[in-house]
Amino acid sequence: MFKLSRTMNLVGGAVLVLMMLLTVSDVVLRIFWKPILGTYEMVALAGALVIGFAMPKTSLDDAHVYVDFVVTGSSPKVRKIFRVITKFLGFVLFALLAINLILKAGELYRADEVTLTVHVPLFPVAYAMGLCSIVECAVLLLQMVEAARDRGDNE
Amino acid sequence: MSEITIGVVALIFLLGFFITGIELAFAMALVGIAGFSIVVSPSSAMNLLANDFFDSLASYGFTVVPLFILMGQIAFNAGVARRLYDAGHRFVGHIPGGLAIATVVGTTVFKAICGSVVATVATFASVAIPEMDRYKYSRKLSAGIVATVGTLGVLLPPSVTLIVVAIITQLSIGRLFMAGIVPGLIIAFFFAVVIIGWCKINPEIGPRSEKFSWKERRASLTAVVWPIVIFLIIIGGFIKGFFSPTEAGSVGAFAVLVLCLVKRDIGFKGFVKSVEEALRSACMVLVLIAASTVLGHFIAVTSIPQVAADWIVALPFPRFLVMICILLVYLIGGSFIDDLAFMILATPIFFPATTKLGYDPLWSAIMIALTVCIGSVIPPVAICVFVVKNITKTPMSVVYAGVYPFLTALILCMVLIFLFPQLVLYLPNVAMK
Repeated sequence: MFKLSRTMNLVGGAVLVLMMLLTVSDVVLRIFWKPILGTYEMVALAGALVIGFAMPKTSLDDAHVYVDFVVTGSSPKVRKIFRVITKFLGFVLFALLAINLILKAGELYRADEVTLTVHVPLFPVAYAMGLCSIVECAVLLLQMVEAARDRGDNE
Repeated sequence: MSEITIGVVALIFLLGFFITGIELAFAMALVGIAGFSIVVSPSSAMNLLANDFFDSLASYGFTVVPLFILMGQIAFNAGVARRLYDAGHRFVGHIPGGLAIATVVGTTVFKAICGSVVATVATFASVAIPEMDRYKYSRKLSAGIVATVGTLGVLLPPSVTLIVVAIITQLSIGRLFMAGIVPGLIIAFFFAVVIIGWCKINPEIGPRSEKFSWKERRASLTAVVWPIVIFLIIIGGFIKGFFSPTEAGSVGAFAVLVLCLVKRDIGFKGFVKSVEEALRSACMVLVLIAASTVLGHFIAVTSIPQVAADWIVALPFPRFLVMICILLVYLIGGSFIDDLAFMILATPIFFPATTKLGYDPLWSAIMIALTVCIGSVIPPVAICVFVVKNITKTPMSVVYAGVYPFLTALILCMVLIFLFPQLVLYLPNVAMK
């Protein structure tokens, strides 16, 4: 799971760098020649991919914001129960998100939804975000199992 | 049960939910879809979830966040802060408390290219505190100033916090950046005054370091010049309407990268690390925003923002008192939950009320940001203090003892801005008519 998340993170990073280069090229070409058509919409879609691909690694690193000062002060057993429940709830959220993003992607495909200027289809991005959510589900499930197995040896 | 009651119960439940240790973004989205399912319908709630995440994350306006964070991370990993601190050291290090003032100067300039509070504090904790230790500075002063000086990161552009405020309140990012400059500089000035005053009262806490020649001082200036040039390009681009915020972030990140590569300040590994750190922070912020959009739609169907605004405006108190109460809510809420997260949660509810009270939206946004500043250094959730404690292994009590004098500077600045809103509004009004 770590390898998959890290690979996805690298892909997200590559997209972020491409996003930066595309925007800079657009600005430079706008000054000296003419702008790159559809930059805004490609950057917007790239933004979704960047965050989607970064989600599993961010969760794996526990980098989301959470309030732990109450739970930290409680016993290891209570901490373990809270962690298992909260990871399960996160899993439920991303499972719902994955299902509905994939359904949305299907709708976008059937409706032939594309961007306004360069007609980039929107459905692949929704599918990609749905797949990223599935990986996020797997990460949260893994964290839940790890928390459930934790016997508190390192407390 | 009325829709408003459901909304209020859900918000109270959410606050309780937060302390279970769940990721705040996940809690917001879960409560949002649960509430929307009750008020509207489960199928609409499912559509809402997918649409809000897709629309938020695939929005051009939000792409500004990872790009500005990337710019700061590249500067952070390239060691720009160290040279800025060194320049400050050469100019003011010889006066009592000079190294602490150099920290303020270095941070103020570093902030021109780094929008992250935590990155700024982490950098100066590892750069400035060992140097101050070398000259026998009191840990109270060194840890206190480093923990507090990061708050400048909230107000001085390009601030990620201000970008988020602008996104939530639909204000112009450029105007908000301009509005943050004067309060940021006032705080920096007050910090310097506190340092000088403290060292006058107790000279032992900040002894003088060696004096550098003007030749040595001039040599260090190149480190200061180019971050300012990049800052001027970005802000100038905003003012002239030449750049969109995303373009400014891209150009800024690219310029910092090219300069760091040319000066060999950063290698491939450093660049990859910067990208990874930028992704992590951007993902945290944007998932929080996407989740708050889900929650926001639920709150909107309960009519809480309108009712809250009407109720707050109808309160039989002077409007300044009402505004102070709103800011206290931010301060208390932000002290227990993460400040940025609480701001994202509370702003859609309270911001319409501040506008209805007749306060300028830009001014209200800066007051909220300033409150977030203060929240980031007061217990129990004081991220800046934790960073300093962890990096320097200084006891929490010592860091807090050093923070309080600077906290008075922050509060004084807040009072000044409250009394003279022009301090916030003058620059955006003049520069971006």
